[in-house]
Amino acid sequence: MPKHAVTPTVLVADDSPDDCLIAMRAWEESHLGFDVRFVHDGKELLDYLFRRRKYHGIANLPWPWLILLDLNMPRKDGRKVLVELRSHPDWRHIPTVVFSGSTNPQDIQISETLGAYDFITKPQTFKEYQSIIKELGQMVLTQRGAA
Amino acid sequence: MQNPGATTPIKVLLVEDDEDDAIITQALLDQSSGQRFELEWARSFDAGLTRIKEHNHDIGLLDFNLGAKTGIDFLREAHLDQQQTPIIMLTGQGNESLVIQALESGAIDYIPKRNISAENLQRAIFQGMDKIRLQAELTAYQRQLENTNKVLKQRTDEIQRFYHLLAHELKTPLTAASEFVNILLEGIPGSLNSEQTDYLHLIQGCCGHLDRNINDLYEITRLETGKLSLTQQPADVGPLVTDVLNYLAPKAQAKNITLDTCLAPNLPYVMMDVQRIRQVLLNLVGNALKFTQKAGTIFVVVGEDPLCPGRVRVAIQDTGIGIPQDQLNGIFERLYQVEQDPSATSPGLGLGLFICRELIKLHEGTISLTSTEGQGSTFSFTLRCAG
Repeated sequence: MPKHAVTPTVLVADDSPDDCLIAMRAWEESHLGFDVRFVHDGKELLDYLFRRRKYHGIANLPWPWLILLDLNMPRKDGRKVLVELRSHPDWRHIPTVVFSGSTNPQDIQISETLGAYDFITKPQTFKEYQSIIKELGQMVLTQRGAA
Repeated sequence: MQNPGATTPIKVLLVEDDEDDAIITQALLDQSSGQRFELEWARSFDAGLTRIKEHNHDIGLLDFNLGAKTGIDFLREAHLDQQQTPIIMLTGQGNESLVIQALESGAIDYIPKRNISAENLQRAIFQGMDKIRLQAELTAYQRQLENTNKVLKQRTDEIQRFYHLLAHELKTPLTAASEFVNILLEGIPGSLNSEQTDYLHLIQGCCGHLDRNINDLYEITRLETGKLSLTQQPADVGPLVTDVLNYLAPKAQAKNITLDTCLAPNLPYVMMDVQRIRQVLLNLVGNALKFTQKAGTIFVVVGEDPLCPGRVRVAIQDTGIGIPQDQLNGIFERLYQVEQDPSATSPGLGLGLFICRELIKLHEGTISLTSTEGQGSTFSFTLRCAG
C-alpha cells in the first residue's frame, strides 16, 4: 500500500449497503491507498461537507479528493446534490463522478450538463468494478500530483 | 312501601354483637331508594360464622369488634376466597389501620361506622355484589382461555408430530428406492443396456429432487416448532464462501457462468453455525446459478459492512433475469415461486428463501434483496462479528 503524505480520500454517497460493500472492496483491492468514506444519501453528503449535524466538531475530517455519487437516493435526489456541489465555491473543484445503476441517456445528459466529471454505469462484474475504480483513483492522484 | 319497579330483595347478613348498632343498620337499610333489603341479624361471632357458611345471603355486613375476636378473625375462618358471599367490614374508631388487613383477608369493602349513611351503605352493598359478580365472570373467562390454549397447543403439537412423521415416512421408502437404483446402476444384479441406464439416472434425479423437498419440509417444521437449534461459534466466513463456490464450480462451468469473488483480507470472525450458513450460501448462490443465463457472472463480495460497524456483509450479485418489482416483497415468504421458463427443471417447494431468512434471523442478522428485471439481482446478508 503506497504511503502518501496526505491520505487521499474518496467520499461515496450510496444508499445501498451492498453497493457500498462492493465499492469498499474495489477501492481496497486497487491498493492505491485511498481512505474510503461512506454516506447514506444526499443529505448526509452535504452534512459531511458542511461539517454539520453528525459531522459537526469532528477533528481531522478529511476533505474528499473525489466524490462518487449515486443518482437515486432517498431524502435528497442525487441530481439536486450535484447542482449544490458544482455551485459551491469550496467544493466545485472536487471531481464528482456520477456512479449509477441507471443506463438512462437522460440521466447521462443531465449529469453532464450539471457538471459531473463523468457518468459511470455501475458495472456488472467485480472485475470491471475494480478496473474502473483503479482508473478513477489513478486519475485523481495524477490530478493532485500525488501519483 | 315497595316500589312497583323494585327488584328482588337483597338478603343481607349482619354480624354484629351490639344491639344498638344492629337497630341503626336495620333503619339505614329501611331507608330504601326502591330496593328492599331483608336483614338477618347474627348476634355473635359463632352465629355469624355458621350463617355465612350456609351461603344464603347476597352480602354480609361484618362488625370489626365481635367480642373476644375481631372481624379479621372472622374473615379468616370463613375462608372467603372460596365463597361467593361478599363481605363489607364496618370499622369502628381506631380500626382504620387494619383496613388493608381486612381487604387482604377477603373483605370486599369497608365503611367506617362514624361515616355510615343509608346512601353509602347501600352503594357499598351494590358495588360489593357487582364486584363479586365480575370476579366470577373473570374466573370463568380465565378458565375458558386456559382450556382453549391447552386445546390449541395440543392441536399444534399434533400437527407438528404429523409433519415430522410424514417426513419420516416419506424419507424412509425414498431412501430404499434410491438404494436399489444405485444397486442396479452398479450392475450388481446384471449388466444394463444404455437405455436402462438412462432411465435409471432419470429416476435417481427424481429421488434426489424428492429428497430435497422432504428435507425442506423437515426444516420448516423444525423452524416453526422452535426445535431448530443452532450452535453458533466464532468462525471465519471467508473460507466457507470459497468452499461453497468450489462446490458449485462444476454447475457454473456447465452454464459457462463466471464465479467471481472478492473477500476482504483480515476479515473478523463472525458468530455463526457453520453448517447453517453453508446451507444459506448454497441456497443463494445456487439460486443465482439457476436464474442466470449462460455466460453470465456471479460475484460474491465479503467484507465488514461499511455502513454498519460490528457486522460482516456477504453480497451475492448476479447478472441474471432479475425479479419484477412487485414480487420483491413476497420473495422470502414460503411457497414463493418465480414464473420460470418451462424448460427449466421443476422449481421445488419454494421453501429455500424462507428457510434462509429464518436461519439468518436466528443469527440476529439481516437478509435483503435488490433487483432489476433483465439486469440481475443482489442477495445479501449480514452476520455479527464475534467478540
